[in-house]
Amino acid sequence: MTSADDSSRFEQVATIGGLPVRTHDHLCVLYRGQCQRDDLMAEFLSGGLRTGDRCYCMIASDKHQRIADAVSARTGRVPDGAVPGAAGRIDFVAPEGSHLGRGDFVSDRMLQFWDDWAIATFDRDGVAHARIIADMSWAKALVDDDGFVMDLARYETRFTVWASRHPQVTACMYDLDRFDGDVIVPIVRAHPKVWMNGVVLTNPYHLRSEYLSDAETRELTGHAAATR
Amino acid sequence: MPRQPDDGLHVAYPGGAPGGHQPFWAHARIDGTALDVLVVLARALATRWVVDDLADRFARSVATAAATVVTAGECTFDLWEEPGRLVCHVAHGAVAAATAPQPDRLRLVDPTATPGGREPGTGIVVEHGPGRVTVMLPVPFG
Repeated sequence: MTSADDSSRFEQVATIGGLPVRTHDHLCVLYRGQCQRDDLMAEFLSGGLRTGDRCYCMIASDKHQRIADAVSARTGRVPDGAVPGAAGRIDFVAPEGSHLGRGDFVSDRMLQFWDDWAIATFDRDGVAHARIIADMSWAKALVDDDGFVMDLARYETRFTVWASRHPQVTACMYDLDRFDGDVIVPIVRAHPKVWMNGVVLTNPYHLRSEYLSDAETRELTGHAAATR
Repeated sequence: MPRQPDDGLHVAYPGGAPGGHQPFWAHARIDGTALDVLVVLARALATRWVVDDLADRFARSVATAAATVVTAGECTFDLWEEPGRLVCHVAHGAVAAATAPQPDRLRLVDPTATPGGREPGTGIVVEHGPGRVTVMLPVPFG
């Protein structure tokens, strides 16, 4: 597992919707409609290409080309990196290739996915810094399933622990036009910071979660203090 | 009956909420350009506890309160749950360190605020103080 507790990397490394983000940040982005989503994604990914980041973009497969086009329009280059280990590339992935890997969502399985991804990306490929952005619209179809929202909130909470241990920034995007309070409130609870249509919300209680052990809470508290 | 504004808020939650319920608290700095966000968030939180019509009323009250305060410049916005009610507090300017909300004891409500105006039939209480407005919605938990 890659550790990136080098304080020199705590400076701003990206922006999304005008919000400066730093290495290890795990943001929730609550957007309105696909135009805003596309703009935010393109901004985030374009910045990643410019700085040589490995970018991971999870969105429905029929949206890959439009996001790639939006990035190309901003950067003047094709975002897909064909050479393994090449800096500044975007890997497009559909929910079926990640969050819905076996047709359903299980937080522990997805967190294991990220552990494996970290080994491949940082340890094997030697990537110095990554950006992850995920359109969570796939979750809409599952919100009425027993226990799903709870497991999603658990995943988002525990992802913050994962994020604190790897040199990356992550933005999880939820559409306000798709999700109601039954999803939005647990999701806001689960994230340290939320971008909501231009307003930055902080959640002072994000560490008070039943999904974090005392040791993890201490780890995150110490990490937050170090990056302040 | 809502609690008095300076009750020990959240003091029952040190180190995590009982029964696994993680309390909600969102904090932001706002200006007049994004009041719609407050409405969305307040409504989303309220619909967890009350019927949609009442949640809409609460969200509108929050929007009105925020609009009133934000005309004087940048504000701080806090929305949180406490036993028995949801509270939204909008205050002009930055929160002074001495009065800033603390995780173990939220004390955002100015004890010098004028007595609350209760919206007929809703239980929503709106309290106005100098440069600040607090909106409270009784909810069935706690």
